[in-house]
Amino acid sequence: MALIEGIFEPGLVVTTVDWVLNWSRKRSIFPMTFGIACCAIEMIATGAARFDIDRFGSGAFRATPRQADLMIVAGTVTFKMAERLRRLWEQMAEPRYVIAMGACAISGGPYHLYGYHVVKGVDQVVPVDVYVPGCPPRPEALLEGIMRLQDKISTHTIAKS
Amino acid sequence: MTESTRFVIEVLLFAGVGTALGLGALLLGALLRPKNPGGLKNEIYECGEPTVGPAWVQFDLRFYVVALVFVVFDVEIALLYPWAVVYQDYIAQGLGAATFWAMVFFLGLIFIGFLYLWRFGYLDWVRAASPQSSKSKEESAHHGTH
Amino acid sequence: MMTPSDVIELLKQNHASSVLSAVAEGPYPHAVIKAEGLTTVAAFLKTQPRLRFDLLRCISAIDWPAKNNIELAYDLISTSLGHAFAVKVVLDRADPRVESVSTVWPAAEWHEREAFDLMGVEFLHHPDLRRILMPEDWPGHPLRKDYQDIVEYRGLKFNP
Repeated sequence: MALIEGIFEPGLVVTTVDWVLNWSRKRSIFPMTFGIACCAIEMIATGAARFDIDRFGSGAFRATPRQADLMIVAGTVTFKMAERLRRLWEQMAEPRYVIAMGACAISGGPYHLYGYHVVKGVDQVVPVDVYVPGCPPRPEALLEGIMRLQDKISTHTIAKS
Repeated sequence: MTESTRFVIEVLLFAGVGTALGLGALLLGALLRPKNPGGLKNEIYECGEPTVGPAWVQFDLRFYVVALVFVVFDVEIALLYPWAVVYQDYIAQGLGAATFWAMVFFLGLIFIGFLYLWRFGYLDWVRAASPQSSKSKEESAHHGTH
Repeated sequence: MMTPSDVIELLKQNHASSVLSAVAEGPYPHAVIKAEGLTTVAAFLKTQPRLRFDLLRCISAIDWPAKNNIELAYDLISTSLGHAFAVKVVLDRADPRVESVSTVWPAAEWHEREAFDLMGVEFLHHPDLRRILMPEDWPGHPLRKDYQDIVEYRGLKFNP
């Protein structure tokens, strides 16, 4: 909770401040490099020249959770990895968001029935904001996921609710 | 208003606006950003693993050697500058040769120090343990591929 | 370049007591070795000048609950002489333990860790025998035929 949050009733000034704040936040979402498996290749392709995630302001992939806003869980989450994933999510600073990219992160993917080592869906470990389906999702799909996340960020308000 | 008063006002205004912009940005951030400290967030970052051992490690002594060598040669370069500035004047007076050889003498002394460093391995980052051990490593490497 | 039958011949000449059976034809020529003599046979296969199997490509563990044993198959290649062969070891399913060959082929270290993790085969004198895929405190060995999926691990539901 920011110092200024939850104090003012919704009004013209508050909605303008909201608009500016949300605009700044959604146009500069810094992802954390969390490519675990094959979806990481598509995430890398999204960062490369043809699909260019940098035009959305998200080109600066931060390797450390301290400087990142967004954790794109790209790949299969095993039980061994789930512990580290949770710890890294805890070490991110608010506002933080999670995109579950690919079938494995959403629900275990092709390992859903018989995968003895796979967590069936990363939403058992961290709260997910946007699910991007695909195996792997095309870079355009990940970009749409980023855009849906931008829409979600736009709904944030500092007004008293 | 005298020129110096005006100047002082200009400088103070410049410094003031600069400080205000910087502090203002920080203040705005402090007001608008969420504050949820504590809990697992304060854990030391070690790529997702629980931390092992202290973060304070022993300083590598080779950096000290590098810094010492740097200081010596930096002073040498610093002494080259005034010489270079007045060199043309000395050539005009006809003392060009003496000036030149004086500097060569100085550089030669420093160069002897440099040769000492080089020869005794103070410039190597990874020191070979001894000539014998490196030879035995070569032999075992050859043995593997018949 | 030796054919599998030549390799078997050489093995039987030098370690006749260790060789239980051998298959020279077919898609997987191999020799079945006694578990006790595995390291000696392994050292022999690596150092013998006409064999020189210097590359251990894979260690596979096969679970036979009907026959009540676990087989380990070691796939070997000679990079210098250009031939390939395999060696099998048959272990008791209730207590599968065998000597580690990581002193002969360092590649065996992780393959044996995998066999330990997923099949429960214990390798004696292994430098670092611990689980490689499952978390350290996982119960059971997942690739055994009688493995039952657990319900919950540390708060994570196995099958939501």
